[in-house]
Amino acid sequence: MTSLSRGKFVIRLTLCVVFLVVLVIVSPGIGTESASFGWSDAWRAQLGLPIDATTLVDRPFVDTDGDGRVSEDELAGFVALAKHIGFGLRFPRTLLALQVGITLAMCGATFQILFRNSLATPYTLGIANGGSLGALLAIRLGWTVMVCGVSSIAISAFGGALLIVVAVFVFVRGSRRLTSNELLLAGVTMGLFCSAMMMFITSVSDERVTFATVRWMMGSLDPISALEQLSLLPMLVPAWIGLMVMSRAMNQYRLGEELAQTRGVNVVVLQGVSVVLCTLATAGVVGYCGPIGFVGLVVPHMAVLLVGSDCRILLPVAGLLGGGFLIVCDWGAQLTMRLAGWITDRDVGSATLPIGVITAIVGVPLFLILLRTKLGRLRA
Amino acid sequence: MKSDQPLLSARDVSFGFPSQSTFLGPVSLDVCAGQCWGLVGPNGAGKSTMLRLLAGLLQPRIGDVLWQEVPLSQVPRLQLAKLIAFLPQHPPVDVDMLVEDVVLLGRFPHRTLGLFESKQDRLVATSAMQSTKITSFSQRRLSTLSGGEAQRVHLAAAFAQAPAVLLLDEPTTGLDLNHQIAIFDMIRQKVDDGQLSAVVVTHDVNLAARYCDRILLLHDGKVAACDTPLRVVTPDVLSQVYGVELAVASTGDGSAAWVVPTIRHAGTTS
Repeated sequence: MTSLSRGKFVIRLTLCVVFLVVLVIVSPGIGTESASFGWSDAWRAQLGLPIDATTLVDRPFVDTDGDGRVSEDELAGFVALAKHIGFGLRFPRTLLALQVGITLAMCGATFQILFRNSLATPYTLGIANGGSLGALLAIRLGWTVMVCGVSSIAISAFGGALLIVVAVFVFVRGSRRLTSNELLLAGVTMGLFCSAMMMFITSVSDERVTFATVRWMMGSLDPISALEQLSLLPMLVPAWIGLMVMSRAMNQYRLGEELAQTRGVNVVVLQGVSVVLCTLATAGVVGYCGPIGFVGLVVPHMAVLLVGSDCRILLPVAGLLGGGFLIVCDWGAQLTMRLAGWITDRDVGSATLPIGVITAIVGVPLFLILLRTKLGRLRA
Repeated sequence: MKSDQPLLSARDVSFGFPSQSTFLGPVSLDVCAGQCWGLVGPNGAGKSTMLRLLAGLLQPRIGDVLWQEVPLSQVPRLQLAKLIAFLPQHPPVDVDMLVEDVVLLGRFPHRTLGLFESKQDRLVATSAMQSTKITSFSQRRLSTLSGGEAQRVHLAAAFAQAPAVLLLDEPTTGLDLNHQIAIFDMIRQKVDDGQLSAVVVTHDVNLAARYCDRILLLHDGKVAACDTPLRVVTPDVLSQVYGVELAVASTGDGSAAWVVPTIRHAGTTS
C-alpha cells in the first residue's frame, strides 16, 4: 500500500465499475424463473437483434408444438418472454440491488469512521430499526399514498429513523462526553425497543397484515416499478455525493476531533450532515426494501482490505462493492430457492428467499473472517 | 529577540468560574515572531487549558485571544488553520494510515478544490518529513511505529501545515531522553529558521529552560511567573510553586540553568 494518487484512484475505481458493469450486463440471464435464455439472448431480444432460431430447439418451453424446429411464432414468443423476464423483472431488480447496495455500504463505512467503531452502521445504531418501525406504522395504518413522488412509507420510515437519531443525540448531549462504545450501546438499545414495538404492532394485526409485515421485515428486492425506483433516488443520491465531498475531511476526522478542528474541519457540521444524509438514505432503503442487514457491516471491511482506509477511495469502492455484493446475494436468494425446489422435487414457482436471509448467511462468516484478518494485519 | 507586533496574544484571559477547580486566569501573554514559549507548572495548573484557549478550541469566559489584534472567534476556521497549528497531547497512534498520508493531512487547510493533494502539498510534506527524519519509514503504517517515531510523524504533519504559530501539548511525554531532545531540537530549529513561533506545554522545567525564550509558569490557574528562563528558573519561584525544596545549578556565565530537587531522606534534615 502506498499513498493515494490521482492515477491510482482512477484505476481502482475503474476496476470496480467494470466489475459492476459485467454483473449488470449478465443480470438479465440470471434469476429464479426457469426460463431458458442466457444474458446474451435477453440483450438480443431487448435490442431487437436477430436470434438464430436453430440454436433454440433444445431449450424447454421454446419448441411448444414439439415438431423439432422453431417457427416464427415460437421465436416471437421466446423474444417476448426474454424481454419480459430479462428486462421487465430481472433487470430492474438488479438496478434496485445496485442502488441499495451502494447506499448501505457507503453509510456503513461512514458510520464506522464517524463513531470509530467497526460495528457501527445505521443498522447496529438502531436507525434502521427506527425506520422499520416508521414504515411498519405506515403499512399498518394504511398510509400507502405517494406524496410528491415519494411513498408515504418511505417518509414515515425517515420520520422513525430521525426520531432515533435525535433520541440518541439528546442522550449523548445530556451526559457530557460519551465514548463511541456507549453511543453504540444506546443505539442498540433503541433498536431493540423499536423491534419490540414492531412485534407489538404485528401481534395486534390481522393475519394478512402480519404476513406482509413479517415478509417485509426480512427484506426484499421484489420488483418495484421504474417510477418508484426513480422516487427512491432523491433520498440516496445526496448521501452518495455528500459523503464523497466530505471524504477528505473524514480522513482528517480519523486523527481525532481536536486535530481536525485546528486543521479547519467543522467537526459538528461534518458529524451532523453525514448522519442526516445517511439517515435519509437508510430510511429510503428501509421504506422500499425493508431492513437488509450486514451489507453495511461487511462490505466496508472488505473494501478496507482491498484499497486501504483512505476515505477518498474507501467510500466509493465500498459503495460499488456493496452494489455488487447485493446483486450477487440477490442471485443467491433466487437460485437457492430453485435449488431447494430441485432437491425436494417441488415446484417453487418464482419464489425467492428473503434477501436479508442471504446477506446474513453470507455476511456473518465473512465478517468474522475479515475481523480476524484485519486484527492479524494490524498487529503485524 | 524580535520585538515586532505580537502574532498571537492573550489579554487577561479567564476560563471557567473561580469556584471551579478548572478555573484559569487571568493570563496575558504575547507570542511574537521567532519566539518559543514554554508553558510549565505542576499537574492541573491549567497548562493544557491555556493552550486550547490559544488554539481557539476553547472560548475564554473573560478576555480575548487575538491574532494580530483580531479575536480568534472572528477568524474563519480554515484561515485560522493556516496560521495556528495544534498538536494534542495524545495524537492517535492506532490509526490504520500510512505515515506519508498522516503528514499530507497536515496540508488540509491549504487544500484546493478536489480530492487530491497538489504537487506543492507533496513537496512541503516531503521536506517536513525530512526535517523530522521520518522519510525512511514514510510508507509504513502509523500503528506499527514506536511512540517516539509516531510523535515525529505528527510533528511533521504540524510542520507541513506551515503555521505561523505552533502549539504543542506535552510533545515529549512518555518519550526517552534522546527522543525528548530530538523533538525539542526540531522545534527550535524551525523557530531559529524563522519559519514559526512555538508555544510548548511541558512539565519538564529543564527542557523548557533550555529551549524556550520565555516561560509562563502557571500554578493553580494563576500566573506564578512570566519571564525569561533565567528569571523563572530560580529556587524561590519554583519551590513555592512545586512545594518541594529545589536547588538550581547554572553555568558559570549564567547562560543556562538547571533545577534539581534536593532529595531529603526520611529522618535527616537538610
